[in-house]
Amino acid sequence: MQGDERSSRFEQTFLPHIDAAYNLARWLMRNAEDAEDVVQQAYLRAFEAYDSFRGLSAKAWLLAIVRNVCFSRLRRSATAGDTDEFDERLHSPEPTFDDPESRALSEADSRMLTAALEALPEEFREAIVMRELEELSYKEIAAATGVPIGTVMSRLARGRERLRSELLAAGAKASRR
Amino acid sequence: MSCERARALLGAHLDGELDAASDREVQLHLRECPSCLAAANQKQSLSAAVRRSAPYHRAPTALEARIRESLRGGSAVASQPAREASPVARRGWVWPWPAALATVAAIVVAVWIGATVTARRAAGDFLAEEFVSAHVRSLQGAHLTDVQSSDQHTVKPWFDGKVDFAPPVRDLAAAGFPLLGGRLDYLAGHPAAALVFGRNKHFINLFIWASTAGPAPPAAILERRGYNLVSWQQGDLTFCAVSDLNLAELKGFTESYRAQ
Repeated sequence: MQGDERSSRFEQTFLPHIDAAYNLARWLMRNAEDAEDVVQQAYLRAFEAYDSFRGLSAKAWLLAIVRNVCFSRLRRSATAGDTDEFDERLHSPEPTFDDPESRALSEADSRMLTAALEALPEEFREAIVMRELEELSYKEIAAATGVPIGTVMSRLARGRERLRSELLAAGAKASRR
Repeated sequence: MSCERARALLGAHLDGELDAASDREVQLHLRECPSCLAAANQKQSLSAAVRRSAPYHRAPTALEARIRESLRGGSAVASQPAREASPVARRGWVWPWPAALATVAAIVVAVWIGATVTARRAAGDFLAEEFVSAHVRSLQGAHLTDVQSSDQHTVKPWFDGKVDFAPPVRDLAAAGFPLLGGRLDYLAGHPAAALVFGRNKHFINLFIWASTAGPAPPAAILERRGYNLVSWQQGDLTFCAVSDLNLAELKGFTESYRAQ
């Protein structure tokens, strides 16, 4: 393939997914500047590895690279010591029938959701972002994250459970004020 | 199906990722188990909250231009990490003017198209969610039909005075979609007639509302949470069929309905 033709084909295939790439990077890095750098680097890496792309889901393939770039940066900065752990002491309230819980969840605003999602461990956060915001299938999430579908299911289940307790705790705090 | 098994499959059920047989079993279990149903509702509220309120971060437009530039810039840039490369990309490029103008024009057009499509998609998505929720709600409780009859001449008059239009009621038993009854529903705050049809063990809700009074229809064909939606407009009525049937069968239904 000629250089120009190769790059325009690459652009046609992958630039339509730039929002998905940026959204995932932004959620994983938790800030805009790093997310931009990650996406730019991910596109360059994807371009270098383009010949090994075999027409699977282009979006899933690109997101796999984006998350790898994210994780290698996060691991690098993690040695600087700014990790945060999910508060395991929060326990989940029991479901009830008249469902004030569904109401509380439906009242969660974007600030609460951002805080709750960003507090999740990365593997849960990325699964939820890929599923709920990018509407990827389990199969695509499995391909992008390099784990079996069963693992995708359990990460989603556990991630959602934690997100739920985070949101309910935040909601309870807000209503006490 | 045991509660334990149903709970394990609930997430995949709501995500539309279960095989048809297990999906059916979960649905049956939810109809008879209020506590699993409550759990399903909570999971659904959580997903809806994330989709509605978690910010979707769109890429800044300058980023795409920068990536195009660095791709054209060749492997010297490509082999460097972006952070080191970015000052070059941000400041150091000398653009030939025609190319620069073309790029700017392309970005403006792309943003405009993107914004239009996004706004439409968001409205359509919201409505699609409403239809799927209305469909799911109708199957969960004992409230599938207000008027239960396979006779179109019983169902049609029932809507008199409840909605301000006469929904075309047709029995499609001959085509394999028997009429089961009708129900009054509310979509986006507007009354809609819901006709309920069966197909083997599946149900189809056909929502009908006056185009002038109700919401604009969602996209012609949509898939949400494993349910298929087919919408169209005819005269001054808008129609939306929702079911867990596969798309081919649901289209078969809408074609038989429209053919009568």
